[in-house]
Amino acid sequence: MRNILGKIWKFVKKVSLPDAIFVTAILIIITIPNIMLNKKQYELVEKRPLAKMPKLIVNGKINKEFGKQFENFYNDNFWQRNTCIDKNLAIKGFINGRMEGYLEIEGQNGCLFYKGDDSVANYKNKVLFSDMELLRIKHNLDILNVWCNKNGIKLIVVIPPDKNRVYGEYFPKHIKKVNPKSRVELLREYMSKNSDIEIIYPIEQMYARKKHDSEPLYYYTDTHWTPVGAYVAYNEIIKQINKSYPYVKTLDYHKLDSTRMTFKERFGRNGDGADNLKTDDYDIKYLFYKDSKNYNPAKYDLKVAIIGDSFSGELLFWMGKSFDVNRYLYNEKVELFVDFSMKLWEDKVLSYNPDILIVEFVERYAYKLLDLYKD
Amino acid sequence: MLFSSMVFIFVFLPIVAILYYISPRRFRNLILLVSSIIFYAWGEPVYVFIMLATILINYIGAIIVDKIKVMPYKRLALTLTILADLSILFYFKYFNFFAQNINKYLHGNIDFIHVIMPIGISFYTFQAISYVADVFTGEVKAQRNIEKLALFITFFPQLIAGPIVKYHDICEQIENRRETIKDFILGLKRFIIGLSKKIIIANTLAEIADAIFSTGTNEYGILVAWLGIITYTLQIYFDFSGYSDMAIGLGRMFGFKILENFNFPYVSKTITEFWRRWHISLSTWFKLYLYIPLGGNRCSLKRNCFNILVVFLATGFWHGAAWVFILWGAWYGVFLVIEKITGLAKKELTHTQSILAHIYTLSVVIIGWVFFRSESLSAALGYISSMFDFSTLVSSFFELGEYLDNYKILMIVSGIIGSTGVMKNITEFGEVNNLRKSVVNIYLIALFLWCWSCLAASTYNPFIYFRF
Repeated sequence: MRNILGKIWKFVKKVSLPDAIFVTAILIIITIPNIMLNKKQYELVEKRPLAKMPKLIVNGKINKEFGKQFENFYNDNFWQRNTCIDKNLAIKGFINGRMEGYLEIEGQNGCLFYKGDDSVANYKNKVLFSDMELLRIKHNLDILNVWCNKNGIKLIVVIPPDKNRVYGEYFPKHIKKVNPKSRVELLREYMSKNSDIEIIYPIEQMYARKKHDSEPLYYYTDTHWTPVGAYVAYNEIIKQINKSYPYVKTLDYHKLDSTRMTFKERFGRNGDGADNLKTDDYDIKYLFYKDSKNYNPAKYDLKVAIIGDSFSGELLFWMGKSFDVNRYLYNEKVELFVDFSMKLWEDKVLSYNPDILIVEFVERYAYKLLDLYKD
Repeated sequence: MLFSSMVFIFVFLPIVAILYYISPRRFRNLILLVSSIIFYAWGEPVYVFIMLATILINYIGAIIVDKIKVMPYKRLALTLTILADLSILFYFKYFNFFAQNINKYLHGNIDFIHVIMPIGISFYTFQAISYVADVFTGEVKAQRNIEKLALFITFFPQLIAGPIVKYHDICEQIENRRETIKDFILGLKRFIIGLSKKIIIANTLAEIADAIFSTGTNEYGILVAWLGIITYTLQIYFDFSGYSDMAIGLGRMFGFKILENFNFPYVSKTITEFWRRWHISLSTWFKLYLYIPLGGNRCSLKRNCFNILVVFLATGFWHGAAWVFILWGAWYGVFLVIEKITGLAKKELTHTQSILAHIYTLSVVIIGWVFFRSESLSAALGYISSMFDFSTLVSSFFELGEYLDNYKILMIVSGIIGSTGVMKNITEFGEVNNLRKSVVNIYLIALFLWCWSCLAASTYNPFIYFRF
């Protein structure tokens, strides 16, 4: 030991003090990620399982993928990974005067917006549906409608507006629209001229609601709509249901009990945007509703099936107050959204035997209507 | 494996360095060779056998070339060895390109082959050719020890992205080198500088350039088009020269002195000067092993111009199997020929002329990068037309904000300053006294920490479907 220390000392003596400190500092930094490896199996913020340590020998053969797999494992599990990511975002946010991550962008007044899945391009009305695409969507919806009619089901198509569409005033100012109309507006116009199928895209209703009510329609730190925002769409859905079932009445949300809570108090986290950007909740309290002893209207004898994305969650709450509802998240069926096809869901829906089928895609995923029925 | 990966910096490099320095000298080449093979095989283990085949071909080929004394046979042995090297390169890199063009223009019916191009094949093939060519000219003796030849070809610091080391530059160091602590520290500092160039500047600018180049040319205006190509111009320099810095630094950490590959090319006043400063190891390789054998400049002006064009068409084709790369090479070839004919490269310039010459050179280089970056010729021409579409001047001003933020602007400014040579030799600046050294060292530690943070952030990989 003394011999080794002696060698190290001899070695150190050959360099200047600043260089000795430099090398020591770099050695410490290089050691830090290896002090211990993460023992977590799941990353809550990224919402994915972390890569596991691969085996060099698999089924008696050398694992050819070992290098890539080990790299994935190391990238997921080195010590202080989350701290590094947080600091990186924080420093960039400090320099920029606003936060921006891989999937989120901070707008005015700290309002967070999702920027993945071409949300920004969609906001800019950059990618529009061509005439052929509009025809194809109409064709797909016609097929779906025929199938629904054949099975005694009423079809309702809902497209919740993106948050940036409703709260555009909070979206980063430098992002400008390049076309006056969005592809969903074009689609709605096209369908109203060429089809009996009416698409619910409650943007005007959202604007109207914003005008006379300060209650947030979307969460500040998350991309989703609040129960109040979902209620606006629910209202429009009931109007469509009334065309076939005039006796159905809209639930009066004023009569429900409500409570005010922050996003964190309600969901135990800060919202998708805040979680990704590692920021804290903004202490904004939203209205959440629950059953009331004084107001508990009986459910109608109608069954509703909803195929949709995460926005259908709040719809489920409202629809579930009046109907027997089954909800299907369409990504449960297929791993890639592009492979979404109505054919995959027909048996499941029929086994439930609903009276009403709601197909829902949030605005940024409206293009999935193109794949509703593949050739 | 990439130098700019967590696993290389925090696992592979420390392990190799420790093993190297605790081992007796006689095992050090072997440790580097084994490490290099692991480094190469990390992502695609199968392709390591192609590299080993290249080593074997050139090992045997060079011994035969060395042994044969009769010139025509010696030349034949050299030709066959080079042909074998180029055949492997052709098969993996160029076969599908030729098949596609023969099918398209000559109505052929050649099936495509389903191969992935082995990483670094263009670099190590050229190194191997340089070895056997040096043996042919008698500049070096054929290496009888295959371990040493294998180390020359596989040495991990320069294996996948150069610099293209010529055998005669490094054979002595493989045989007999002395590592010093001073070299180790200088190498480490150079590595950190290269890593910072790649991670901090190039990767940030790549975000802008990629976003703009992936957008249709009719969707943005003149200023955005210029922003895209300027950021790409800086990105490619910082990416490539950063990689070369890392390679040179790593080499030095293990006692090797690898020649410089970049010398602030964007300060050039002529295209001739640019190619003396850009990817120097490749330019030198082509000069030694193609330009001079073709006759170089010791011939008529007409023949000289032909030689230049051939070399630059080959340079373009070396960069990639696509017409845009050939065009990119031809683009430079034409300007080099013009400079040769006009004598511009040798002219003494006044201050004003220097400024104009600099503008001319940068314009040629920047437009050249459009061909290099574009997917197709039509995309390149579309992009160039947006660069000169003045009708979009005002509207595109407002689009800039979409691609820029304070951090990115800071990186662009740093990139411009860094590419001019103002910050040249930061480590030499630190060698003057301990105070300066301390300042430089603190700066480098900060850079390294920021690189680590950026690398960590790049591992952030949220499941994008989680919104469902």
